[in-house]
Amino acid sequence: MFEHCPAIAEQVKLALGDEALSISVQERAQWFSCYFTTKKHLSIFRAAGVVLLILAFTVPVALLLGFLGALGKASRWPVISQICSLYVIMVRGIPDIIFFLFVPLTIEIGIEYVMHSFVYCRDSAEPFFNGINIQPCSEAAIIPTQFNRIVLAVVAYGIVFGSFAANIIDGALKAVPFGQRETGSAFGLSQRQVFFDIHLPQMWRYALPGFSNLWLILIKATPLLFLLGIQDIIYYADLLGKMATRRYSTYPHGDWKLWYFIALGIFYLALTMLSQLVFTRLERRFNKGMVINETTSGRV
Amino acid sequence: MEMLSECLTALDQYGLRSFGIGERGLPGATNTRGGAPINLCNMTVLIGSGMLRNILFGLISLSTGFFLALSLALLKSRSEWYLTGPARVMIYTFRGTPLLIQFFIGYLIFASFGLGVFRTAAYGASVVLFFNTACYAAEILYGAYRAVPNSDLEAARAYALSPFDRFRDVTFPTMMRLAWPAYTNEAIFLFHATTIVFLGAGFPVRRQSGDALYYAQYFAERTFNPFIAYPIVALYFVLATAILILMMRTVQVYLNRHLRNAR
Repeated sequence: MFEHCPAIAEQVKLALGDEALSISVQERAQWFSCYFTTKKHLSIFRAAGVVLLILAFTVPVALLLGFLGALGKASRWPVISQICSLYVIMVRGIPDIIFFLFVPLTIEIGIEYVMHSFVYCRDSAEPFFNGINIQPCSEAAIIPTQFNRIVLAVVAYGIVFGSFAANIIDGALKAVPFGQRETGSAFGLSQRQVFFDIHLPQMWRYALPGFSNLWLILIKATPLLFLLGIQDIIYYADLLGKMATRRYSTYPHGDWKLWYFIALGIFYLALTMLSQLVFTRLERRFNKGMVINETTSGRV
Repeated sequence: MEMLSECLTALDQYGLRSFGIGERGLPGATNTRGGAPINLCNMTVLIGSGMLRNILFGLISLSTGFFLALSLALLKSRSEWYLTGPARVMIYTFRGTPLLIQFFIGYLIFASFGLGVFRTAAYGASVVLFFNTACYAAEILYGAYRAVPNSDLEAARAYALSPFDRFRDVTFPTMMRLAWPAYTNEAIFLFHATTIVFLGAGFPVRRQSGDALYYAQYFAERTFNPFIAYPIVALYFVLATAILILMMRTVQVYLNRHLRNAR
């Protein structure tokens, strides 16, 4: 399909260097179609897929942790409820990016510590904690690969957004009118039944606006992957947008970084727009059969 | 006692390091002269010095952004399409794209127009943060504007208040009262968002004068130990956020002073 590409690239390259030669619109179009399907460009499309994949993996982790946090907060044991309360308010006080930097490193060091002291260097005199420095021996040191980094990022995102989610779920569980639960008990339902059949299903309705908001925040937090050393779309946009000289590149062009980043902006804009549409629908579905003043619920 | 004097030296050397004042070499630096050893004192002081930058970013963009937010919110609530249109597009664009990408685009735009000053993080990032927070706050204020009870406005009209007086004495105070809790949240989020400026958001870091997280990351990388530097910066932020919430709460009490039992 792209056999003509080398020829076109060569032709345009020649024309760029020679004032006398001109490039027709059709050639330009062909050049672009070739340019956008180079190996490097395919990797930026793949990176966009990875972003979506990370989103898809983060959501269940965050929801699970959110539920654990919210339910743990209401626990009878003070230790658990204290820890969970701390978890629920955690992200309100501390910027999320600190967790994104801290959590992967902590997990990495935890593994290194286990490797250092129990597997590889049991005999070595070198301590793991050397004053303020941490020094695993060379066999135990981990050099993170792209895949490891992505997995650790999902864990970090899960923890942070789990905290946000716990906040929302906690609020939504409290928002369900107490009379509902009371009625359930009056009908002789067990505590378990009241929770799963009455409390939880109604919780979703109150939690949905919060989740919608959270999902949008999560989408807008994915570029931070770049700051964790993951080769995501920003990394490739930065790389591909750089000026490519005629000497070293098959497809020479000027500094197109701005255009690449604007394209990224549009990508994210489309993503948020689509999500908002979906959530509006969901909200309508969850509110079916509820008596709600239309004028106040129409806005999301 | 020795510890105290050590810390005072650190304060002298690195207290304003984030603004380029003080010792040139960071603690633990091997390539430049004058680098002090890495210890708890130096870490706390240097990260605290970076924290000043975060606070400054937050204060500048919040205080200036508020006015743009108010204008945008009022524009968005007009009925003329040529007024609402631009406001809507601007608010939607800034709220729908990630801040990090806005930083990149902002930097590239400043660079391509040759606006030298704005290519530095201190000014450029402030401008981006200003627009960002203005658009988020505008949406909040717009929602509050629409929620102002019609009866209040009717009463104002019945008293024959001029449109300006009506806005100043009725709409605006009610709007602020309704918007304030959400605005508090926005302020916290913005304050936390200032941490990504120096982490590679396009703006170059000159002379290693960064913000709190920049220095925390520096220490974590230097020592391979995240368990001291990151908790320090986290603690600073918890403290600063608590103060911010307290300040916002004070304003809220002031806004709601005419209501009994409501805060």
